[in-house]
Amino acid sequence: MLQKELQQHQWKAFRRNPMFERNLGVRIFMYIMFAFLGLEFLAFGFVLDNLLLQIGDYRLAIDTFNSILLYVFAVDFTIKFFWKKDQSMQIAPYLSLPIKRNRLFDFLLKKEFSNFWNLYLLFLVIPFAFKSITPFFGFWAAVLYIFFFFLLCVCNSLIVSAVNSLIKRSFWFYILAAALVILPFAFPLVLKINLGDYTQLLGEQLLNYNLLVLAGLLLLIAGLWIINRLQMRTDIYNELQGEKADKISSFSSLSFLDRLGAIGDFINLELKMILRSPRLKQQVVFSSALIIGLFLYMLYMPNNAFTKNGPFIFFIYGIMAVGLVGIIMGQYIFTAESSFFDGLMTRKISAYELLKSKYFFYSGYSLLTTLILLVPVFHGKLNGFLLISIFFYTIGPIYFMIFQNAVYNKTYFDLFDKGMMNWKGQSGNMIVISMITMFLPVVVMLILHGIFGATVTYSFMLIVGAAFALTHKYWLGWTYRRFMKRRYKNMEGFRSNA
Amino acid sequence: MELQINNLVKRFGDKTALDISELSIEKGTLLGLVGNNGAGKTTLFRLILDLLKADSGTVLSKDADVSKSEDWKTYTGSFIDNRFLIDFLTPEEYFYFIGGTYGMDKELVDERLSAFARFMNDEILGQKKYIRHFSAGNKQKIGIMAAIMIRPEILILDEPFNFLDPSSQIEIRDIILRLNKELQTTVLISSHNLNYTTEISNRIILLEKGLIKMDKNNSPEAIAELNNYFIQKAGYEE
Repeated sequence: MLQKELQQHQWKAFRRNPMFERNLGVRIFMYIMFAFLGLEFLAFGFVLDNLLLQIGDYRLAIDTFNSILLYVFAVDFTIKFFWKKDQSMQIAPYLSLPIKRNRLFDFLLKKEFSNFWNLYLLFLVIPFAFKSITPFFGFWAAVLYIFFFFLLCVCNSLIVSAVNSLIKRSFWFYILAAALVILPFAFPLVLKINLGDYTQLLGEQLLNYNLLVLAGLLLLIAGLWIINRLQMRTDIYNELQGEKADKISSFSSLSFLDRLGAIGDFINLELKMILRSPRLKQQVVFSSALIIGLFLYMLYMPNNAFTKNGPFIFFIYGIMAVGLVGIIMGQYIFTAESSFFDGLMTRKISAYELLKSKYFFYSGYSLLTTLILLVPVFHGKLNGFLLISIFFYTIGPIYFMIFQNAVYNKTYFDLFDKGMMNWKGQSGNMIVISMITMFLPVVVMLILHGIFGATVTYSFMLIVGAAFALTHKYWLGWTYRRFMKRRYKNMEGFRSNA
Repeated sequence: MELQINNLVKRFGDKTALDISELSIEKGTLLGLVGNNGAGKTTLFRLILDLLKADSGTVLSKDADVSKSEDWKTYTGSFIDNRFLIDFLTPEEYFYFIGGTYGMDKELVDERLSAFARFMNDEILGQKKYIRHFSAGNKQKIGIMAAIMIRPEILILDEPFNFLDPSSQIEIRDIILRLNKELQTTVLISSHNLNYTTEISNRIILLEKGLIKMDKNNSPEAIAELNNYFIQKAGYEE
């Protein structure tokens, strides 16, 4: 009865989320993306067995799949780590009711079994399992395997929750999260131990109906269940008492920015906001990890990789590396400040100064990334002219486009909401502007590249980019004036969505 | 005239939240705004602070339309609700940030805050926690102090006595009175606490469903009229 009632409340909370009530654009985009992702996984599931037979050392595709399970779950761990939302505060309103608290914690934990993040891999595994297991082990073995795989997804999710909870207590537990992802890769490379052989053997045992493997996994889930329950209890009390388990951030401010006056104050405020908001921090960490990955790729790729892959990869990698943080943070302009925007608008502060500080901050980050990417340039892996052109093109027309979000953003953004992609605070204009920002400049570059060649294209990027960068005061002013015309609508949106 | 309101109307859908044909507030006035829930008190403050778009009419602050000029921000301090607080900052960081935007250095902010030592009761500064982790009462104190420390010419506080313990209510009452007396600050406060409001205000306005029901200088007769109004609204005879 209680379970049913709570489920109904959750469903209502989901359906009555301002995102659903107000934003058809986001809704449609979300459905299309999920449908596309599901279809892609499904299609891949049908051909995966052939692919594994070609690349694997084992006789059966399922054996190869079992031997790479740790890598699959390392990737799954990473996805869940960044995307999965902390749900413990959802039960806060029920804590004072005559309901046993463990029942509430169990309710949240039971939701793991219907959580999208524990189901998405099944789109891939169901067709694959029936195709690759049934002919050799029978139909029921395939069913058992799918069930086992689903439990592994739940288990991985519980590990993610446990690690996230530990990170709330100390920043150092990020090392544990990184270790869990890196270890499966490090074992064969560093210790010369192939863990894949062990997972393959376990998989084989399971397919031969050795239910001890299943029992072992169930035992592990039970252990993680208890750990999660205990952690939830501590977390929720800390949160309700206002004593966060994690210590106050040691970052106070970058003193050299004080010389910049109001702009410096705003950049310091932006830095604090990013470092203290779990959601923004996750996005910046994710972007930085991606940039590091791109840097390493550029450094270690063969000299002819870009020529071979064509200019598309060339442009998209460059813009992603140089502009990703600006593009990701830029989509939240003024929405990130929505929880204290009334306060800002009544102070002796101009929103124009705020826009300018954001522009300097994102451009500074782009400059830093560009300087780092000079290393691959010196190694002859990247064209220096292109890198400089991409830098100016990013801080020019690309940031010009992303800053238009300041005019249209009117959704409330909870800085302390957990989960990088929970769609709250997301709006249709953000998605449209971000997509245009990421792809339109690349398409323009590709067309120019196709017609005029590299030198003209890079020169065009450099000139246009520099022109926009040099005139930033004017277009920021123009953006500010358009925002001021819409400000009441936006501020009402910030308030009503809160 | 410090503040001048003309034909100010604000509607939310079909409902008229505020309809004031004319209201003048002179410098040095300590105005108490009272009324039951939904009377339009917060809406009026938000319109004065240019946080809402009026359907018609104007709010002039020192003869400048607040929706067209931002000059009023340089001499107006305000605290309406938690949306005025930057809750991922510590109180110190918040005060320094706000002070900085008014050209105050850290020493001056510290000096101004020292005047609130008793009001803070050792519970605000040096706590090593973010504003979001403070109690409702202490958040209220932080917001009020940030509004006052800039020594505004106009001070707007929405329900300043809410969430405060009795000692702090007395303390904030005295701080407001001192500010009004020493700096001639024009103060607009709204409150459901009739005792404090009538005690400190020299002018009282009663709002009902967006309309001014009563606008009088503070006097025993005005207070009696107010009391009768609320008693009748509660369904009791006079």
